[in-house]
Amino acid sequence: MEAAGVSADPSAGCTAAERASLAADVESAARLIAPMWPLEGFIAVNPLMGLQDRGFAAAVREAGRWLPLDGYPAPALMKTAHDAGRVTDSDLAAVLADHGLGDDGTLAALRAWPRSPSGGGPAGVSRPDPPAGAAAIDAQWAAFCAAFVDAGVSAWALPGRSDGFYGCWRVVAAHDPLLGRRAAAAVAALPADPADALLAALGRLGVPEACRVDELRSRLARLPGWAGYARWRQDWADPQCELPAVSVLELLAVRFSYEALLLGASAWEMPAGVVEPDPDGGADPEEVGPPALLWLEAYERHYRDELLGRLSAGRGARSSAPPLAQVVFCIDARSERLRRALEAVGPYETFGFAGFFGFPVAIAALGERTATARCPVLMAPQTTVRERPDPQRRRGASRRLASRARKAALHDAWRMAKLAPGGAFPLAELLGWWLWPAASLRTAWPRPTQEAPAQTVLDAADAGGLPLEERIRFAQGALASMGLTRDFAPLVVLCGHRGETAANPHASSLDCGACAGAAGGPSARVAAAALNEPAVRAALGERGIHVPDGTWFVAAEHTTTTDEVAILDRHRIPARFEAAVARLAADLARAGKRCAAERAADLPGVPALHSDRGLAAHLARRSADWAQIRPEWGLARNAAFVIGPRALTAGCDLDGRAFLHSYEPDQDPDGAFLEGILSGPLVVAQWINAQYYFSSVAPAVFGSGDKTLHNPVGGVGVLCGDGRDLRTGLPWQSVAVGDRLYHEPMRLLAVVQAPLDRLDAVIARNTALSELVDGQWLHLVAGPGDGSGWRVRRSGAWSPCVPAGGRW
Amino acid sequence: MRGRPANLKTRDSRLLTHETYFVSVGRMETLPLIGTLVVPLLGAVLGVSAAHTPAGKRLLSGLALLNLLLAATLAVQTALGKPHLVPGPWGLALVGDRLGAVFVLLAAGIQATVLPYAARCLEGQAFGRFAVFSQVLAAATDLTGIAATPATLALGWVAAGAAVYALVAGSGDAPAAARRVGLAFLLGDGALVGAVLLLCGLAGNPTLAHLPAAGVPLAAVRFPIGPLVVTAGDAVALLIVLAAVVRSALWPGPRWLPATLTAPTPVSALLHAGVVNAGGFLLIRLSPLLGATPVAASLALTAGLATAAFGGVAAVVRSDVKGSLVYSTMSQMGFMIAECAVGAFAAAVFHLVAHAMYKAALFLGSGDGVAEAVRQRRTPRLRAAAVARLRPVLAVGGALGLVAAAWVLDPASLAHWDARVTVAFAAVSIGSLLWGFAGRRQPLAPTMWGALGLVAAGAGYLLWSSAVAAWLAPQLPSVGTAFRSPVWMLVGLAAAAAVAAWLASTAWRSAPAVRLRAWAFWAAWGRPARPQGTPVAVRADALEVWSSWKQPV
Repeated sequence: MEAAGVSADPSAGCTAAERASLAADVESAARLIAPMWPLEGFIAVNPLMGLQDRGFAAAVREAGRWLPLDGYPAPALMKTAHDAGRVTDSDLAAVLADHGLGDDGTLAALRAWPRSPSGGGPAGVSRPDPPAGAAAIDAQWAAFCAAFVDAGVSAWALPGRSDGFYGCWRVVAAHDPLLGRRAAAAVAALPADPADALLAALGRLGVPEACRVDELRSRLARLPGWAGYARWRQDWADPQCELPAVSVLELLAVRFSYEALLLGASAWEMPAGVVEPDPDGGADPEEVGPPALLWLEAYERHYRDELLGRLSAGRGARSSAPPLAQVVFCIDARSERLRRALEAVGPYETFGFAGFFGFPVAIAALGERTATARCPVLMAPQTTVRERPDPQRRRGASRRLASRARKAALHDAWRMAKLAPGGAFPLAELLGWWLWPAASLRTAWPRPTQEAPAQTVLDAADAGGLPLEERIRFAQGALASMGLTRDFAPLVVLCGHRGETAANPHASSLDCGACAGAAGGPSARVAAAALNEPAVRAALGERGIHVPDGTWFVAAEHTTTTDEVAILDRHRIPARFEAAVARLAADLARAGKRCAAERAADLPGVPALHSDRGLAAHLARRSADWAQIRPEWGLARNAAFVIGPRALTAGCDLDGRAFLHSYEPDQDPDGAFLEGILSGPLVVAQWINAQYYFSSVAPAVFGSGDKTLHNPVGGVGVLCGDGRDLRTGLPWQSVAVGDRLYHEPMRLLAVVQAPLDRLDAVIARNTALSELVDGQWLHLVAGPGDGSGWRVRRSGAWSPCVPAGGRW
Repeated sequence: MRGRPANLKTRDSRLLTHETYFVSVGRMETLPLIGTLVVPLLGAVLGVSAAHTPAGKRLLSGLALLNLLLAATLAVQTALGKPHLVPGPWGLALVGDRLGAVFVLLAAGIQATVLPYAARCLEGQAFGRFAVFSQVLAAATDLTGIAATPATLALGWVAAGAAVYALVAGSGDAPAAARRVGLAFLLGDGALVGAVLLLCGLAGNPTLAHLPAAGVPLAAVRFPIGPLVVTAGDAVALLIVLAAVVRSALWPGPRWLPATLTAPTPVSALLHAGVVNAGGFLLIRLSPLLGATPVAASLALTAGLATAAFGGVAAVVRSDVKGSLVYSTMSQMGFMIAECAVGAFAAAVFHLVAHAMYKAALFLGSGDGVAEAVRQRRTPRLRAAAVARLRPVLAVGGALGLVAAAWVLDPASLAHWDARVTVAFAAVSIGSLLWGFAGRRQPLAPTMWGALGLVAAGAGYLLWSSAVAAWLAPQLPSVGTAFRSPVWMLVGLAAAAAVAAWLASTAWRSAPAVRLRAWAFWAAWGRPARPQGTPVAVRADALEVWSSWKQPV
């Protein structure tokens, strides 16, 4: 106790150098954990994105050192696939040949692997033993996170919240039962600054500096959910974000303070059974991976051969009639079915483009206080566009505003009555008689809760929106990079998409990823408004894109749970387009029905029907059903990303498994558009693909668990069961039925129609891209697109794609 | 426990025949009673074989609806006449009376909605298991509700406990949670079985109508424990209170209710179909056995009020939707048991039913938690000045208006403490509703209309609750002298209000308030499980350590 008097100056704790080295170590440790976006706008990420520079196999191995995961499809899945002919012996042989291992003995051994799996993935790696008492500390640590990261759910806030995460913990921990009677004195003696506290705790425990990163990382691995939230909050969140701020450093300061208080001085021992730290941080790219990896490659290769075969066979016979409309869909794999259906229904030309349509803005919906970003999370929104009532038609808008305000006020009333002493008891007695009949009706006859229809304006030209120059730039960029620069049809439709579900914490995972996990309609409305603006059109004309006066840009929205397509802002479409729009709407409805019929075949629980109308009714009911845990399959089974003109894929049935991005190689000599596509949409698609992959092969770690056990927490995410760590990734029901996987876990297959040298140049310019491609996070296949000469990129070189079984 | 209450029936009452209390009815009239047992059991059998086929699912939902229809028929029957008794084999017997009918109707009503919900929600998962055990639970709960003898009741009670254990254990990866539920039920159900064995051993196998008379032989068996003399009647009463306290998850009983979050959402909703709230039913049904032991009622009252307070705080502290709902249920169960302990049986039944519907609906909609939080956050909170000034006026005026409405509608309703308690709690609730309602930017007119609507709803609620109470009252057991005064409820309310007022004043950041809030946080998140070798307190050396860390090394 004397010592306290000795050091009067609290800032004398540690030097700037010590802090900097600690910050670097924390940053390095945190690379194990991917950021986790709040469920308000679900963003699929590659859970191992922090380890991207190591390459796929090495990253999986490194993650396996800390987290209980295998990282590859289970042997049982491969066995089933092999039995079903989804992987064949010739695929396995071809993969071995790729690795220069051709002999029969190796093949036989590989073939036998799923039946007697051994030496699988990183499962063989032994993880460090948890320190004594870790489970008890985990529980307190996670409970504190759950209580602190609360955006207004609990009515009694934690004391000391304004002091930040660590400061608040110091206030609360003084009464922590785990710390016992001496808690208050011990916590009061802790340094006030989290960095000081972490350094002091590590020093007390006697953790040597060389092992520091590993120690920090192993603790983060015990709380991956909240650590993921912290990574999002500190590195990715908007600076004005209202959600509680947590940093990884603070998280670790709390953890190690617990350990230092409970375990005492010099408690640290070199954990037994740890693999030596990886000195080079990566694996030899030429090294042959574990059998699980080879099987995965064969599984992927089979799909690759099949897809390339379909592309070659498909050579779409395109109708020569001028299109009624050009319809731009989001690259989302679910658009593929609708595009195919629409082209079959009538003379329509379709395009694929990221669903924010090139306008990186945040949008504040009518009556909302805050705006949400509506662009890929790799971009920052340039400005906020506010939805406002149409000046001529205010009635609907004011009804909607009033109903919103009334609902919010009633919700507040309910919360206040629960909070008042004794108020909750009559409240329950009063409301029970209403809520239960309502719940019964909602279960028996699910109906969507619709907001009052309102005619509004969403226009970037409004005050506070985008300056004209920016609108022109974004409009030009969008049209040029999708190759829509001439031969405009009378209608050009920008079709965003959204999922419509009820009582679904992961609702936003069905929305548009390119709109940051929000509905795509508003972005389409912003883009269409700008493209219809005379000033923008005039400027586009000066830059070589002549949009005729007889062309109108129409915003639309595809509801992926029902496959209905709504034309948006119909009240703003000039009367002369009325007939064309009516025909378009009818054709979209027909296409939607085809699309729904195709999709329903795979959807569990669809009654054996029936007419189109019966199916539509079922899907509408399903999407409004609060008991439904699988309103649609979302992006499950996504597998490929095709970049090229529609001619490449037209007429090919790609099963809704491919992201399609329009690209005209001839219009892009310097590769600028290609570079944009490969460094933006491709990365987003890879994140989505990796999220589905890891949520399927490692559901306990990178999936959010059983949906029926989900427990929304803090308005940011879900807990599962009585667990206290935030769950990340996709629910099990999004990738599987029962214990049978529906998603096929494969790395993304990118097919690009472009000259190889242009691709090489783009890849060489982008480190992140070359990490993705050459680190085997995805497979890149390219070619001129004439059906022959597809090349696959391996270890930085191109080799011809030869199908495993012979010809396609 | 020494004094004997004066109002015990004389020995003569043991000689009364069943016919004095019950009417005999023809075979057809017993159909609803028997049916509510048979139909769910049919469902359970069906669940074993056909729960995964669409037709099987439809049939299961149909059976649940049929059961609801039977329960409604039973309620109509009891509304029209006296209770009727159906004697069965092995000393078992069933009774159709209003209390039992309400309990069965509640259970069947919740089952009828949860079953089709679960059929979709558990698509591709263990719906078969859920169907089987939920239907066993339904039959067991119905048996509890219509049991005419304590032994029959205990049979239903134990079967319901086993079914709940199976439902929780069925979610597989949480054996610790299932174990906690199992151990709790072992304790609580064991207590009830013990009480029934004592009762049957000493007083034969009385029907519910004969329970008051059963007190005599029970009182005759005395165990001197030091200066105290405990009778067998005391033991029975205490065991019954223990069973009720455990089943209704009251403090300081085992915390089994939070552990059930490891089970799917429909299970959480089903727990309100006569499982967690069965404690109140038990106390009312067997209240004649408590009449001789004031300590038992006092214990129930204390546990009830303490749980009402603790659960209420934990519910507003938890930031997760289901955690908050679970603790809110605990709190509401505390309130219900306290109502039983003060002899407000009709009010307790009303609360039991209404709260069950309220909370089951909230559980089914718990997935809305994220969207709701986001919507609340995004909607502007600014208040129009006029409404802001009106806020306290509205709240106080609304509360007083409700009291006035109660008096105008039925002047007699304020004459009894029972009714005064109801009105007082309702006034607090309406006042706080109005306070919260006026906190968003809305024009004045809708705010006023909304406020008026809320007060009217409050008045309607008072009318409805007194109508239900009046309907139930003739067939409820009379309240023995051992039960506490309803004034205690008001004392509890006043104490809670005083603490709330203190917190709401400037004291929110004071040291004692911070300590209370920190304690509430740790208590609401539960004590951590302590595996072996876990440190349990700060090490002595840590204190010195932290003081010296600043020294240059």
